[in-house]
Amino acid sequence: MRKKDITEKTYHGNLPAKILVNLVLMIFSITCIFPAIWLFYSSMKTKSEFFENPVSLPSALDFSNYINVLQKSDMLLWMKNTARNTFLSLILILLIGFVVGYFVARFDFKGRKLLYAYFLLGMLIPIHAIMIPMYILFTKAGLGDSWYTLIFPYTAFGIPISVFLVESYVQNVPRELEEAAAIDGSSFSRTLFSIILPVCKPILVTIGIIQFFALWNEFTYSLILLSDERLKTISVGLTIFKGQYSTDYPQMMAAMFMAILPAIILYFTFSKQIIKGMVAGAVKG
Amino acid sequence: MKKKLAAVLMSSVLALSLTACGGGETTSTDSNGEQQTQEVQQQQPAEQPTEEKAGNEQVEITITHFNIEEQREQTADYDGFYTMLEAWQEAHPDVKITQSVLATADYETKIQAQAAVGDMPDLFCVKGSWFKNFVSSDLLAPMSGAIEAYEHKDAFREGVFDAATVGNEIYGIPIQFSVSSLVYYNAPMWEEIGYSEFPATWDEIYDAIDKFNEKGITPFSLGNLDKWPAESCILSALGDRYTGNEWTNNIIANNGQSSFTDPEFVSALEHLQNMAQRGAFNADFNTSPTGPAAELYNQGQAAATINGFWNLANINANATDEVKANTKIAILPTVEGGKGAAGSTSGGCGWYMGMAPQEDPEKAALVEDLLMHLGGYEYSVFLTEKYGLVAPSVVEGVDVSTFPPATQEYIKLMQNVQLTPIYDILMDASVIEVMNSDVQELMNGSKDAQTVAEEIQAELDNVGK
Repeated sequence: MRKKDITEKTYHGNLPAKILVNLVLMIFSITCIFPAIWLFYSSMKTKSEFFENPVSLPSALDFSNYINVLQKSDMLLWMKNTARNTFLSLILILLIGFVVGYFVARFDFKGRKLLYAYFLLGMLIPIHAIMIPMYILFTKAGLGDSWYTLIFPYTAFGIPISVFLVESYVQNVPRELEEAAAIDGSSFSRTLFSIILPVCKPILVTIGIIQFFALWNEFTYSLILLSDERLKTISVGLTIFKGQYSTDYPQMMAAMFMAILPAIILYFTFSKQIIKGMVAGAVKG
Repeated sequence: MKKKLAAVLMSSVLALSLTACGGGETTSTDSNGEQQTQEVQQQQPAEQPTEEKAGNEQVEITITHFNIEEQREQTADYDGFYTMLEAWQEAHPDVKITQSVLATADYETKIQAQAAVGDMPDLFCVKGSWFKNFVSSDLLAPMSGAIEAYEHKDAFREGVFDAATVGNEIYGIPIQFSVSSLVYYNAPMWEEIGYSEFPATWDEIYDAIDKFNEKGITPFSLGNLDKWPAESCILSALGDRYTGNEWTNNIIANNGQSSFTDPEFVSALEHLQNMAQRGAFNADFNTSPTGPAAELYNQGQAAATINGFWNLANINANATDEVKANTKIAILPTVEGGKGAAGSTSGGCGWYMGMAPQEDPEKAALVEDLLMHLGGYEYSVFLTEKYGLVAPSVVEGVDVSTFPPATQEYIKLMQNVQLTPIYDILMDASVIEVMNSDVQELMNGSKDAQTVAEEIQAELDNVGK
């Protein structure tokens, strides 16, 4: 009941307070949304138009920057490469993270805490500290410069957070669920994948989204571990639009807009679940 | 039950790892790093069926560089590189050239990671200040023999091999002849405040700075976010004005006869700080990237910019027509009591291309031939004739009248200018690192000249140990 009271009070509160709250929220939203909008309309401008006034609207709807990007660069190939790396790594991160997270949460075995701490430590390693050792490792092991190269570090770096989130989520799933399943004769793996997995959907979506953005934008490993032009990912590809001494900003923005488009589409498609998942993560995590 | 799950898990992991490995057509089983790279290379034609495979043993040459093809139209050296590469490829259709191209800053990160492992492509760009380290790690093949045998060896400009020489051997071919400090100024803007020519004394420059600031015009545009511009484009030339050439050469040799704490160099630092504090630059100079800063000048919002020769192509391509027509080029004035020669500015070869040591002598000859072509006489002819640049080799008898006005200005100026060493090309890379960061702080006003000088000297002492 108390909860309801608070909500009602906010709705019927005094006007200035409401305006103030909304204003603050609006300003926050604008700081997040404006860059994307600015990116989009600036990509329609010509170079000189852009430098004359970087914030003004374009004089005409001009898609020539997009055509240029598509013609001059391998944008679509980079997107394909990035999509493949992201997709395959995500599957591994979710699968391994879910299973390991569940085990650590439910089973009490020797070294459980140690294992959990070990995974958590993984979140603390700064990427640049192990850049060169990783390069050496991959080159010596003959794993460098292949289509699957990036999946290893991506998965390895994605697992800790996913174990962490799944673990704390499963802690709050009632054990009765599994017990009921066991009484009904469900096998362990069936319980895990047909009963626990659907219950964990919100947290898995959260992990998926967090990791998707991280992987889609990942730069350091793509730069260091790959040399083959045909394996280039989008984050490294984008840098070629930045010249050594001068940059064609509108064209770069056209390329950037294309690069963030999949993320935007994904966001709008899953926005409901993302919000749900984020809340689940926030409360339970 | 646990066992069953473990089995399911194991098999799924196994299945995934199998699919991961199965995709690569040739996974190396060799422990030898060299052979692995070759195997990876051989994979490429297999994946691209359209590629013709001439003969059974196609030689493949790998090049890692920063000449971004997308920027070819705007950048003279990139255009030169591709033109030379295409010509060579045409003459050698049976050789497969595999390029890996990255933007300069990323290139530096990547190639140094590769250098740490010793896993180098056949050809790669080398910064002047890297040679000592790279040579001591056996990453570069000596080029003296090839240069000696080169038919146009006499055309190379004096001193172009200085940075690439370690001991008595030369290890790289210059691919960029840099003049790092030039003052591009918008002549009518300076006329308006009473200077029909670029001022010949610093007093006049400071006077102009005040006048421009009163009018709300940026006197000099500078984008020092990346830290090197202030050091390379201003301090390199300004420092020489105070210290003279000999001092710089002593520092480069690190022979203990000169020090950064010498009063001349400290004065140069003070001078630079003074410029920043008097408002010589755009207010955001330390946080602005080079591009937008150059645009300030290109769009007529700054009266001048102190920049390298590369900015010429930028002006010709991006400036408004008015700025293009009005741009004149000068060098920084001398300072009172300074030891440096008048009429000189910092210049020399910035980037070289080097070749990794080769095991197969036949391939070595081929790679060497390509390298001499990429940085040889034809390259200079191309840069000089098409862009009017001062190139690594001297090319005579070029008709300059067809070039844009700013380029003609540059050619005219360069006929009478002597070149002094560019700091970041010839001094030790770690010393430059300290200098770049400290100069940024100096200009911010957060460190004084004496402290900066001491810190740079400490790094130099450290390197000498």
